[in-house]
Amino acid sequence: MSIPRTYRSNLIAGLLPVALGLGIMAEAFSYGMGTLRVIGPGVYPLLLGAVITALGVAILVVERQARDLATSGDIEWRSLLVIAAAVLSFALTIERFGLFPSVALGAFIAGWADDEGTVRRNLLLGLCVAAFCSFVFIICLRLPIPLFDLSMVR
Amino acid sequence: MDILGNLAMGMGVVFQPTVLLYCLLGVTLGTLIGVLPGIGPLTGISLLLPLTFHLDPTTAVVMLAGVYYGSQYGGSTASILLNIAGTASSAVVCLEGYPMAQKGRAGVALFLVALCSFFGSIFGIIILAVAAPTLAAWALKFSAPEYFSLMVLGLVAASMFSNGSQLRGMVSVSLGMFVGVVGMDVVSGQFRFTFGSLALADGVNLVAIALGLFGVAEVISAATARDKRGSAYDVSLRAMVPTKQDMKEFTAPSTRGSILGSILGILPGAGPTISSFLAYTLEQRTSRNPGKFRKGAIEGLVAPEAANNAAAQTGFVPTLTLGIPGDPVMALILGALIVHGITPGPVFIQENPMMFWGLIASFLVGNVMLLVLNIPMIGIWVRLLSIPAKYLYPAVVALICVGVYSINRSTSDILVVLGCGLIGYGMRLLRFDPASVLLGLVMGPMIEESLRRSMIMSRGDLVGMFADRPIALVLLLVTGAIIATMVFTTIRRSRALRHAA
Repeated sequence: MSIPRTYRSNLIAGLLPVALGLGIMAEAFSYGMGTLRVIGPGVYPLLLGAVITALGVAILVVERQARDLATSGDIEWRSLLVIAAAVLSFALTIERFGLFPSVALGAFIAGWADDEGTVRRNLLLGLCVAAFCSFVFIICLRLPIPLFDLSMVR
Repeated sequence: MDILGNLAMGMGVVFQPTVLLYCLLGVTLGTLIGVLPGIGPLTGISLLLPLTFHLDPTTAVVMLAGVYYGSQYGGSTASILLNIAGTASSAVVCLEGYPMAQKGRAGVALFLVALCSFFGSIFGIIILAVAAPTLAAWALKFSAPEYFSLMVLGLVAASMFSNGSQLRGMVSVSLGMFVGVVGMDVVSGQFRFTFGSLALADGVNLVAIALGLFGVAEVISAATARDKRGSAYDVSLRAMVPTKQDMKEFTAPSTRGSILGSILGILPGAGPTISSFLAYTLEQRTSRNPGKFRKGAIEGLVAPEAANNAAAQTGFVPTLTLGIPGDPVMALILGALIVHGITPGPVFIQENPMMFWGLIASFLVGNVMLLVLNIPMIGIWVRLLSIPAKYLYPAVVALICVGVYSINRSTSDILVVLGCGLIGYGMRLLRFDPASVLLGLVMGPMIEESLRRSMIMSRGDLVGMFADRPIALVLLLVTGAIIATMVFTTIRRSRALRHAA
């Protein structure tokens, strides 16, 4: 017997807080509880962990069968991977190549989230966005970020 | 309490070239953010936060506040023209505004909405100017136990109003509070939840979290969505003139909406969105002719917009006088103030009168600017709505990346943004409201501190302390009542579901 879709996401929604809460509580114990008058650094996270765990249990009990709270859609893998790649590429290139190239690359990659994109359109998009960001951040705000840093390229 | 004198002083602060410029910039960006669906005030303010760090505190808050109340004006444009909400608080405007547009009255709808937004804002500003100093004086009697109770009440009330189930709202808030714990505990020096990482020792960057949870997660959700753009409505100035009948139906609902919004804005947990929904419901329930709703009823158009603007202005009351934000956007603005070294609270008005009254004066000036932006200049915004989303979102991603990098010049902040983006996306899928995380994040450390202080003050005797402090006790009891109500409704709802299944 397969578990219907509606149940699965609600199960996850309940189990995740329980797992997180228990983990928080476990770690918090090692931080020292102090006394009742002078509470230690572990008390507050312990309370938070307990609350989160309790809420998770409540979700499991109460909302397991709630259809209106089930996942409203599938995971959009294309968007997810493309945007993640775009941000990651920026993080890796900003300090190596400067603002303009890294934004251009990031925007170029991000353009692929839309399935109607073409290479030419995304290239143009990358350049325009890079120009716009250069204008806002370097010219208008005069931030000390190098526009082009070609020292790595020989 | 010389309000006029103080306002004059405030005007002196505002009418300096830099402040005026940033006020104009703020309200313009706010309108833009409000007009564009998919980017709300939360994302917009997060995007602008890195830029405001280079400004002086007053100018920074004037601009951010301008974005906030400015977005309440622009949000209804997309609602009227496209039947898509520009901001969450303008979703209700779709119900009456879009039918009006379909009947050829788009111009009138846009005009009336701008007018009642102005009306609601001014009303809210007056309440703010009167209530804030009074509340601050009263709050001086507050001490740690009262703050603790009030903040817990605020968080519980906020989860009650959040999207999705209340249980999940509370999980979001608690998650935010937990993230606020990460880092070094100032009192004991203990590193908490850093797992050896030096980057986490200072805590997690608020802006990175906000940009990730809202900016990136929003782009991921929306980038592939197909949305309609382009409209062929007549929005010339002549098309905007309302009839006498329209104006007759305009005044009473606007007033009702303004009053409702002003009151709700002060309460923790309720903000512009709740106010607009409640105002609409109020008009529906008290109307003599309920049949005209959903077909272009002026009351249903005007009351919510007045309410959300009023609430946006009075939302500053608890934030500035108590240091307790009423909704996630206020939490973000509060966070920005703290970063600038300013701690709002009862003494804020006393210690920073120029900033407080300058801010209020800037609200007045800003709203006048917005009236101009939204009536004669409405054509620009309408044309903007025809830009396809697919060109916009890569630009937003770029702005997020560069913005967060510019704060600390650290690539690990960008990775935090990415991580939070994925988490935020996951939260949306699981129907957890990401906005509540911000509330918990900003208020969490404050709650821990007041808890600590309360325990020290009580010397271990909690019962005795609360017996001496009726205000704190009442607040806790109200919190308990709200939790009890939530428990009851949840049990009743799950029983009904089980019977139906």
